[in-house]
Amino acid sequence: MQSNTTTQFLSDWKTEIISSVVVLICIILLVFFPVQGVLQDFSKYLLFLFILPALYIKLVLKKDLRDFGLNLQNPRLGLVWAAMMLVVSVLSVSILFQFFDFANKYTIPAYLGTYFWAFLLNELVLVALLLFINDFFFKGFVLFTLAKKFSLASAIIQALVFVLFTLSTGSLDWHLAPTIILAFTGGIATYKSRSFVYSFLMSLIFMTFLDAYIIHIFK
Amino acid sequence: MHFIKKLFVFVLIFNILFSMSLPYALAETNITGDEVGNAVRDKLMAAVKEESGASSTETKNTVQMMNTARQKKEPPQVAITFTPTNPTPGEKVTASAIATYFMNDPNVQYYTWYLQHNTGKPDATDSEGHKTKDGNTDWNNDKRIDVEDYKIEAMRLIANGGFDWQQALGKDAPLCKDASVSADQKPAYCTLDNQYKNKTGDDDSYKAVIGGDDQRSTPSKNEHCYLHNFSSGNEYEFPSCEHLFPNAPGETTAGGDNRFSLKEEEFWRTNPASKDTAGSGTVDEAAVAGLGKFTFNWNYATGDKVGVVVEGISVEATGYQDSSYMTMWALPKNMCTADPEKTKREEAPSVVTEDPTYHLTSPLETTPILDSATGLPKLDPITHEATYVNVYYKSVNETVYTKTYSDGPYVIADHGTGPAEIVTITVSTQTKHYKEDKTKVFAESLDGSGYTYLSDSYETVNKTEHPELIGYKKSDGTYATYTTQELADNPALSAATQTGKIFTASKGVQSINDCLMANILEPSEGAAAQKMEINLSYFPNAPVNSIGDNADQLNINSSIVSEGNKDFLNYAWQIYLSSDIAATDKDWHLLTLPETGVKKLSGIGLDSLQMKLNFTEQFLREAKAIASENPNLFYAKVVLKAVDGVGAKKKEGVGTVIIPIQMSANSLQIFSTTVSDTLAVSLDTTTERCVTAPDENNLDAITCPVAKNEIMGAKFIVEPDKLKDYEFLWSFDNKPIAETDKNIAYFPILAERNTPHTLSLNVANTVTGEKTSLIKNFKVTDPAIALKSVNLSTCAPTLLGFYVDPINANPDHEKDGVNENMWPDLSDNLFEALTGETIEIKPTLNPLFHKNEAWFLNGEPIANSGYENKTWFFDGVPVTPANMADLGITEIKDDGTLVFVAEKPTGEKYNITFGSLYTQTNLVKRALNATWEVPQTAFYEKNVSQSIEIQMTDTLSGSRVIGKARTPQQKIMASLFSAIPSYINFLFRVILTMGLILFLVRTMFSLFPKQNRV
Repeated sequence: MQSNTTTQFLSDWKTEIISSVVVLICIILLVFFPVQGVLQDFSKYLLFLFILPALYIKLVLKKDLRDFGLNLQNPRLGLVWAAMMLVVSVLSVSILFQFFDFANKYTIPAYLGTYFWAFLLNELVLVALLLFINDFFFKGFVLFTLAKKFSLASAIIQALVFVLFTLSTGSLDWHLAPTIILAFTGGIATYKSRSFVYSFLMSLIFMTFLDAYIIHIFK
Repeated sequence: MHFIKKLFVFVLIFNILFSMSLPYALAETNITGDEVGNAVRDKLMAAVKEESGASSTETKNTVQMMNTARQKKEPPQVAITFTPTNPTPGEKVTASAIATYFMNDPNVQYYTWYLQHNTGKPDATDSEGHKTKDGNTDWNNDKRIDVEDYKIEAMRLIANGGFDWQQALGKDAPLCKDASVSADQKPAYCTLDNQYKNKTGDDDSYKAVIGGDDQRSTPSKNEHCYLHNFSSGNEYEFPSCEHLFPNAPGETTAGGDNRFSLKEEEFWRTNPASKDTAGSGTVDEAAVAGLGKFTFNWNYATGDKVGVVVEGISVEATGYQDSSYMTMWALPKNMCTADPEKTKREEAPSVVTEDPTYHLTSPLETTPILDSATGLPKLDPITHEATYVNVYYKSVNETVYTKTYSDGPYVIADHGTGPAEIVTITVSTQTKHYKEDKTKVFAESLDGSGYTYLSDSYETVNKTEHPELIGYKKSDGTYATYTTQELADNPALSAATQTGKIFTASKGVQSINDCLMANILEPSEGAAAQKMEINLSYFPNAPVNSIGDNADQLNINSSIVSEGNKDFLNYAWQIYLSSDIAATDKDWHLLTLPETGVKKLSGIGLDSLQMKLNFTEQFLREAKAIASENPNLFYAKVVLKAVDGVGAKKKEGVGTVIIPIQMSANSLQIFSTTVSDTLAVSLDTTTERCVTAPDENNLDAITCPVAKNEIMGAKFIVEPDKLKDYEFLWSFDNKPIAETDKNIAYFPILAERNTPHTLSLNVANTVTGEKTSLIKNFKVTDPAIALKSVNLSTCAPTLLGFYVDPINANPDHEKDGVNENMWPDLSDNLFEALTGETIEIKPTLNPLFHKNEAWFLNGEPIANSGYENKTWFFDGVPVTPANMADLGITEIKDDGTLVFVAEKPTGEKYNITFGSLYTQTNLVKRALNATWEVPQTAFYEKNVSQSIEIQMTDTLSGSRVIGKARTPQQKIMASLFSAIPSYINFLFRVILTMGLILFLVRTMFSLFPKQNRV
């Protein structure tokens, strides 16, 4: 009987358990895999947070990536929720500005403030890429792995996983505060719209305007 | 009325009495009429001088100049130029005569050219029977080859003007009459008649006028012809005027007959059917006379010589009371020797000066008194002895002119006419002493007076032997010779005491014709250059000698004035070095070809030279090119010899230039700077940057690396007490630097990475006039950190392999077991360390500018203490004082060196990172903003870090032992893996890892119970 329960549990939670193991492995590899140089570091990010989960989804789970948020279904819903979460994010970060002197703690490289082309390149390429990979892994892979069983809580759980991951790398500082805010708000938008693409766009807009605002107040 | 008459009578009587008595009055007072007149005159002259302000000296000078002005006038002259100046045989040469100081135009003057060949051919006879020698022909058949033949040779070419005279001769042409030539080989004109035998009626006669064609007038002008003496400035008139034209045998050209016969046409090879054969605008006879022919063309042969004599009217008028000016001839060399001064005929008779005083002879001579009846010595009646009296001499100085006359028919005289004679004149002054005739003394006189000269016999006495006889008796009874001043004051006395002065005349000048051969020129003789003028110039203007690839290249260019093809000039360069610009020849060190570093120093067309100025100080000292007192300057003397042609046609020249060369920027020092609280910038002289090291491969010394937003300082080395002698001009990228303090300048680096900058300094020494230009190159680089192991015996960089350096040899190549040009390639971020040993890793900023940066950690600035433990990351963990012990770190030294004991076992690794954000201090930023207006948002920041990986090992590969012990297969595999790019290696590992994970996950999926899919 007990074994039946266990077997049943394992059977019911097979995907979630194994996917969680994969998530854990990806995060562990991301943190501990030895690299040399920026290129390898970035490649590691791409491989372990995007390629490996994608391969797992396609080869092991034999599912479509669209099922893990990489789609544009429900555009209306997605945009509405993205907009709402954007407002929440802005309000959150304004609290940081107001009460935590966030403006002086959030520094960006001087050349981004000097050269507009550098700013554009940074936001539209570098930041966009990192956000996409980040969103695919956490709001796509992790969230939709747990969505069936945890519903809306999966959005919170993936955000918490992100925070834990950040903590484990020891790079938790004020620079990551906007990303942490977006982890929560973006997760909700993703869950509601069944797509992390709108969350990604919302994050991109948010980060761009935040950086622009920081440059503006220091000029 | 009665009263007036009385008054008139009274005045008349008064005047008579006055005039009668005046001479007596003057006589009484010893004043003569002349003296009165002279006194009046002198007073008048003095009054005039005073009134006019005239100076006696200047008046005399002016009069003297007027007296000699005539002799200073320029006589007619002529110069010949040849084109080309250095002709080759067969080349057509144009000789141009430029006549000056004639009053009439060149077009109306007569130019008589003469051409002499010098072929070296022996005496011969041509086909027409003319005597030939040296390429010259006796055209006038006078049995000699002289200047008349040379004139004919030249003027014939002018008159002929290229006309085919042989064709005009027709069947009488030499070629046609040559029996050795067959009929079919003879030219076609051999069938034609001789045109010179049929008069066709061309009127090409011409009558020349003395002095030039413009002197023609009716009635004709008087002719006066002169020769100028270039020494005295005088002109001497010829007895008659004659042209110097060449003549055909038996004919007179243009001088008198006004007839140009067919025979003359044939002789001169002119066209019998044309008035103007040469087409030059003058009739043929005038062409032969040389009317306006100031150019002459001929085909040059080796040894040819050419001359010209120009007849025209001088600017100087004659002394005759008519309209005549002097007709004169100009010669190219003005060589026509005639010294009429020496041939001046002395008209003066002998001058005899007799000293009335009788002198005793020495030794004393006596003579008996004679009986006037018998003429025998008069004997005393008692003693029957003669009475002897002293013999006296009377000195007579006589200037004797001994004239000898030649028998020449010519005359040279002063202005005006004169007798025709050339004399040889011997002028001597002889002192004759008349001695009493012993037989004629009739009465005794103790003082010699009363004796009568009865004889004019005399003997010449040598003045040197009897000086007492030359002079005068003084009041004290002694005799003395005249002093120089006395002689100068009394010219007659001077003439009387001159010793023999002999003048001899040369034969003199018969006519200008005799002077022609002395005035002949060779074309290359007239050209200014058998010497070539060579000018050398160099660039840069202030070259600097330095070590390395960036040394100045000295470019020396030559400029040669030469008509030849410069590409075929033979150039030979020589370069000397010395420490003294005024060194003697032996003190200049001649550089050999290898020492110059150039490919060749001599050859054809080598008109420029490029030489790298990278002499080492040691070489310059050995060559004694630099002196201890001024080791920063030496001199290079560049000598260029260029040669064109060979033999007689050879032209050569030498050019020299001395170039001062500054030694490299030992004189210019580069420093970092410090900024005070008052934003004053000063040099940080603790460490000099970009020092020129003895090692020539020190790249920093050549291009100094700097970082953006640095404020750099440069200093020119000069002794403080000499600073005031210098003027400085600092420039940065060709813009003057404003922030300077004499020999110190400050300049900020504001450009982006890889931007080159140039600092230049022009220094002028106001005392010595020496000028120096110094340049320092900079390049903007990003600050970077290098981590080095302090103790290579415990931790050493990993040996990646060997690379080939074809230039430098590896001194340790035998130890490494490789060829001498192979060097070990060591990694910058992979190290090996021995387990259990103490490892020291030292960070060094590259370039060395660690003073003004600020270190940040996680956004927090660290105080400018340099290196603190917060900047180290040990295996990914930031080092803090709290965790140093846990991490196994022994200490972090003041210079930032990380010291730890490598406790990890063999095979394991340490990851060490050092660095953070680099930017300038606030003081520097404020200085940049205040002084150089750098906006506050434009300050430069850079994340600077360096990571290394230290692998624990038992033996260091740097010792090369393992390398030798490895098997060939291991070597290959090691090489293979070290050769594969690390990224591919990384990808390989990642792919393997991912594959493994996917496999495991798939396996897990299989192991888990099947899911009930809903």
